[in-house]
Amino acid sequence: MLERDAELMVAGTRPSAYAKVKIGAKKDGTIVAWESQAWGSGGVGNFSFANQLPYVLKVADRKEVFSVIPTNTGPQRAWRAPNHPQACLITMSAFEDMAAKLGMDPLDLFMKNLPLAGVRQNVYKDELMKAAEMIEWKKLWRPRGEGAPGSTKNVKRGLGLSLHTWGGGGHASDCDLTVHPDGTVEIKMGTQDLGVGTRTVLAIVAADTFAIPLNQVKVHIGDNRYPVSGGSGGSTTVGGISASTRRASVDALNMILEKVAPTMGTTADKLEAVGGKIVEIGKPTNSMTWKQACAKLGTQPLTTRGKNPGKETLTTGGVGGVQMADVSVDIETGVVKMNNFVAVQDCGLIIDMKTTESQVFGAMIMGVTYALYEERVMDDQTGKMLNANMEFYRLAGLRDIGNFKVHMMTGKGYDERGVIGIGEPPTVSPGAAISNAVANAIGVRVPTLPLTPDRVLAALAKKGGKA
Amino acid sequence: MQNFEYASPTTKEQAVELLGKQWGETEVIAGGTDLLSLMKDFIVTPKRVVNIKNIAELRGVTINRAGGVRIGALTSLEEMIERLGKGYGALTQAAKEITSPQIRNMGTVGGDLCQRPRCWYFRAGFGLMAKNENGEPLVPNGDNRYHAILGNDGEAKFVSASSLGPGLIALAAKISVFGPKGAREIDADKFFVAPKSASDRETVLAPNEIVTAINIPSTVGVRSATYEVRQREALDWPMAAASVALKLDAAKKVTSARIALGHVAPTPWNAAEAAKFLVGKTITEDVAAEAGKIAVANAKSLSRNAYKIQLAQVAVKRAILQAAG
Repeated sequence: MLERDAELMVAGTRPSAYAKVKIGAKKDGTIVAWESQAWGSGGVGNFSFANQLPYVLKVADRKEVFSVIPTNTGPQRAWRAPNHPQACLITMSAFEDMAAKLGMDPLDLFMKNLPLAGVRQNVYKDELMKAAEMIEWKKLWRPRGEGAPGSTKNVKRGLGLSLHTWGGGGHASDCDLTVHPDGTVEIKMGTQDLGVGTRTVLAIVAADTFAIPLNQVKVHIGDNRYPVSGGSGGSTTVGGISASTRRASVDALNMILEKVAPTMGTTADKLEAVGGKIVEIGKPTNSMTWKQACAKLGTQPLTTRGKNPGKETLTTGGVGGVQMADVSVDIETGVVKMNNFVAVQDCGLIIDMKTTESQVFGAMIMGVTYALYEERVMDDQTGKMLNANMEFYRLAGLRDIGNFKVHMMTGKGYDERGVIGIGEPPTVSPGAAISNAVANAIGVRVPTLPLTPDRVLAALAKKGGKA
Repeated sequence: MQNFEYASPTTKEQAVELLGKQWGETEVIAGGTDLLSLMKDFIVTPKRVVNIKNIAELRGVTINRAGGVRIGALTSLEEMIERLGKGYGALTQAAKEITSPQIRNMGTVGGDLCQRPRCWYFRAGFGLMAKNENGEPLVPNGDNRYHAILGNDGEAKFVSASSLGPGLIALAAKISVFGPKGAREIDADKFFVAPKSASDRETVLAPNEIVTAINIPSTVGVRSATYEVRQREALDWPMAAASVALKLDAAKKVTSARIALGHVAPTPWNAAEAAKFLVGKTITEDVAAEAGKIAVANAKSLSRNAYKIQLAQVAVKRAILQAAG
């Protein structure tokens, strides 16, 4: 385990990205052309930013140039959603700037250009409408620099939005699931819980399949002796582990149904597990408790090996999300404060709403952090990192984050897509949404993250000092 | 951390006896909120650490009948806030802004005055004057976004980290100090100095002197406040701060004023000209803003910290308006 300074100096950071963007639009806001000249550094190594710009909204006529600049600094590392936050900021701020130029509400401009998002355009449409309702966009939004309601002489309020995507299909995963004759269930899987609820999800999948209480399922993970399941990266964990567990649970249940069917005077295909019982479908009086059913196993526990059957089955990839930020900017000091921050997100079938929402909340906290505070400061003269500490490598605290609201898209069109990862998607948009909100508040783009007081004041000064 | 000898005297005479005659030989520990990290990072490597927490007479807050107050050097920041209550806004507001609660509970009033600068070159081991191995200064051409905009003509470019210093200057406090030659009292304004060399310190204390108490004259009729410009609400250092103490007459005209800035110079910065400007005036936003301008009239930015001039100016304006209420 590294200490904080070593962690910040050698473990690797998110690569930088800068861009000059030109976009062309019709008077009605339809974006018709994109040209970007982008560059960035991943430290000592190379890194790929190709095909990320423009982000999500793939303008048909476009030209992109990207240059990688190696520097003698620590290596880049895959931070959550590698390259997406950078590409998102560059793209969404260009679209928002165009909306301001055209005197359009950016919500309308984004809506108009959703066909550029391809297959997920309807998801984004629903999400934009939901997020707008949650943050009261139509009531609060004002044209750039006018200041949303609540603005004072020195404090300007603004709203901004962004949208994002991510894959998140499940990785390869195996597990052993054992049903004991006393009715308890054990899962053994060589996966890990980074604090995101892996154990919770595994237990829920098995308990739901067998229709038994959660406390009858014991989960064993974090050991190489268990069947191999993938590493946690790319938001691929939940899709993989839930698919293999579901497969193992269904197989085990079918075998138990086969065992008990003769006793119940029927065949396995006419039985189901409901409310702690095995029940004949359509004839609930013919039933047996789960415990009685498992007792039929005799002295031998039943073990099944579950495998993630692969893509387009229990897990798929590809999600869309929309975030909207409401900020206040002190134009005398350049200090940005979060008021409200809304995230609307899809991730297919949700196994546990609370852990899912917690993932989004966590992403939003760290999103505020990289939008407003987080930055590695290198000294050009000595090559030393100057802020490898907790005091000047700032992270948002509870008093800095404002009010968060999360809405998960569920139901028809979402649930049937299977389980998809949620770790990374909501980390993508915060930088863009908050940057757009600040531009909306103060009337000028602060061109670099994090949005620190010196940068905010410099942008204001360039514009003539007034918001 | 380098091994060290630990001494725990029970009288101030013993403490002074145990302290070295040269800076660096020995260090004083009270709350330890700064010293321990300095030692862990080998920024200081004392041979002996003298714990003064067992010296009973350095504790406690005494408020006298005339409204003056004596605050023992070992008083925790939290205890000071609780004991002073209202009436010492410049001091209590500054202390409340020292987040987190853990630091307010462990950190002492004396320690706040004696803590070392947060200059990231100093903390990275380049010495107090931040020089490379060839003796060339790193701050002027380096990342000086948090460095001094006032009093930065000398080699010291860091900013004083003291939160209470500006408030004590505004309230015309005196610092009681004890050393081998006995006790002495120093105006808060004179207590802080910009060191001339890396082996000097940021106060007038001799290596074998300790702060014993702070004495604040009566604050009857004094309105005071501190305003800090900070990026985060908690666990952050101000980018600029100002403490203001005002006396107003019946017609709300200023009869006396004191203003001190924090985090803008190697010492808390007495903005006497700005204070003088306020005398005889009624506080309005324009008057306060003008005082802010005067306070930074002589500021000189380094390559990356011009924005701090604006922040300091705003801090002065807002502290004045807050004090005038």
